[in-house]
Amino acid sequence: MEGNGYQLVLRGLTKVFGNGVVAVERLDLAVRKGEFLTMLGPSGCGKTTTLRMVAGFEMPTDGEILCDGARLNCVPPNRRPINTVFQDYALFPHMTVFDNIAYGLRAKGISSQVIRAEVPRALEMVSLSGMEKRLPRQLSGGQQQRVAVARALVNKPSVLLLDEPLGALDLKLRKHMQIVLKALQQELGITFIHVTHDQEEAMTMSDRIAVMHAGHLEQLDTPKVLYSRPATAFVAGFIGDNNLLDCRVTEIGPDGACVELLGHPVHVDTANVARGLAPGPATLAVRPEVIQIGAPLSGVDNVVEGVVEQHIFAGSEVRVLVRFSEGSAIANLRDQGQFDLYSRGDRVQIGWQRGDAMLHASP
Amino acid sequence: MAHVAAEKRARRTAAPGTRSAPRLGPIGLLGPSLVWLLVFVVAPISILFIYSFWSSQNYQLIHEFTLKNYIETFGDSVFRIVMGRTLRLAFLVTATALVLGYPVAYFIARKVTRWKTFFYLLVIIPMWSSYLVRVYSWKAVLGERGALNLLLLWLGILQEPSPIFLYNTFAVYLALVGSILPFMILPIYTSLEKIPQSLIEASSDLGAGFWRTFARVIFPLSLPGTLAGCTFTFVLVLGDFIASQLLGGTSGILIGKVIYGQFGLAFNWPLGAAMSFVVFALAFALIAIAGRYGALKEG
Repeated sequence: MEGNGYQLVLRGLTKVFGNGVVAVERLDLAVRKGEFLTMLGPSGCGKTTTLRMVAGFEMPTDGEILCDGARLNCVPPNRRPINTVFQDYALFPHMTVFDNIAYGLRAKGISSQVIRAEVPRALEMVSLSGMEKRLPRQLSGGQQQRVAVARALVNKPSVLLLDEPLGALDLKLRKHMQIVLKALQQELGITFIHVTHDQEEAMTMSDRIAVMHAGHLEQLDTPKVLYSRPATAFVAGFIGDNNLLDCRVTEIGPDGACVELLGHPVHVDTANVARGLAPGPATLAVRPEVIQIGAPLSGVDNVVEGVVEQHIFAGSEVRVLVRFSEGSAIANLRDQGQFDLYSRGDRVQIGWQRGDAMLHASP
Repeated sequence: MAHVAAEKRARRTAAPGTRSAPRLGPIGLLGPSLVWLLVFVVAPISILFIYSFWSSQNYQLIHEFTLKNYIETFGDSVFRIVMGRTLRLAFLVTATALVLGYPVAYFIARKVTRWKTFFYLLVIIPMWSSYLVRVYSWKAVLGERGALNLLLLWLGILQEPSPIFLYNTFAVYLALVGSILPFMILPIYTSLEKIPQSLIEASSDLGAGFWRTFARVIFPLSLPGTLAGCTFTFVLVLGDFIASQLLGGTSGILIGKVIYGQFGLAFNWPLGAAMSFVVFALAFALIAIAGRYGALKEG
């Protein structure tokens, strides 16, 4: 496996903490050379623990970490070809920007002549030229973040780990840094492994996303596939907006599944039915943007009835919240002319084509 | 960071509430402690300072300005010898306490996780007993029927109890190191505990081993606490007279004991006051130097 262009391979990686909490369970993950991979998941899903095991700050309970084919499990963090950008940046407060960036090079015993050339180059890379003599506390949050990136990248690691590096920045700066980091990664061709709980950030920056949930890998794929073909109800709900509706599978046939949703028969294409799904309780995932509204609605494969509870004008679209006897769904309507069409309390029909909804096992 | 932001927000929302309370202003808030300082610190020291320019004859104070006490202090060879011995001992006690105390502070602050309070208490508990008792207890260890002699007799190293362990500078040194150690450990502990774990991880992540991390990150960041501990220790030894009185005999006399003698036996308060002020100036200078390097900033 490691010969095929994989930079980092995690095999059956497991971490059980002293108090018996299983943070990561039998995680298999192969990261390609030069890839921007994001580990995405809610807090407590094991993504940070996985990152800390790769960095060497946590010992795996079981499994293997391979980098460039070499087993890293017992290699201390200071001997791994891996550098980290920490969530709180972890800049040394008593050292100047220059000394912070030179830290890794000096630890490796690189001559001061080379260091004097490398540090300004690293600063230039993150557009902070001339900041060598500043102390970390004299920099803004965004600048500190970039120093942290430069301090890690100057060591030319095989893999760069980023632990929620943008979490502390405000929205505008965060958007800017997303582009900066992505551009840096493409320019340098270094493998980036990024951890975040922000799905939008993951979608914008990553080549591939590993969606994690409760210590497991739910799905590993490109942002596009994760969005259009989520493998589980969890991924469907986590990536982008989605209506997750409880339903009951009555029959799975050659041309799709028959589902009972709030007393209405609903059809789902075979391609959209999760593999191995059997008749019984299931979750139907319908994206808000595929839902149409009408009273009555015609020319649509699946139709359900409900009552308009709320409608919100959100700039480029109109969001309508429709309540059913059990549960509710949000429809995003692109046609703003429809905004005035419905008001609170109206009985409406909502519907979607059989190829637009996905059927998953109940989470 | 999020935590800091939340705190700021809380402070902002709390502000209107505090505004409705009566405003004391800086003088009002500082007032009580200023009065306390004036009455119990500034006043006695000022009175002592005035005393140091008077003189004493036949146990009578002569209220006339004179510099003779200071001239006598600096000209007195006993004062110089004892002062030199005291400074040497203060230096030695400080160095020993640092070498013994730093690892303890490091251990409690950065290695212990579950028993932190327990170890912290172990350091503090001795301070709950009287200093006098702690010094006295060394007599039970070093005395002719003390634990050390009993041990050496039992081991067969000595044939009969030896009196040489007590009443010398070494006994004073031991007692001072023992009783002063918490004053060294606590400020170092505080500054070590404040170092974020992520800095140590970052150092390791960047390729540094333990000793490099210690020399480049941990020790420099613990310097304020370390300096504070050293200053406490040094100044406490300068001012000590109890250990010297009880364990020092004649060879272990410290400057505190000499000053104590001037106030007590010799009843020469002006000379004692002048000597006090020489020591006081020295201690003050040390604290000021340490303060410049951040020892008093936080701790």
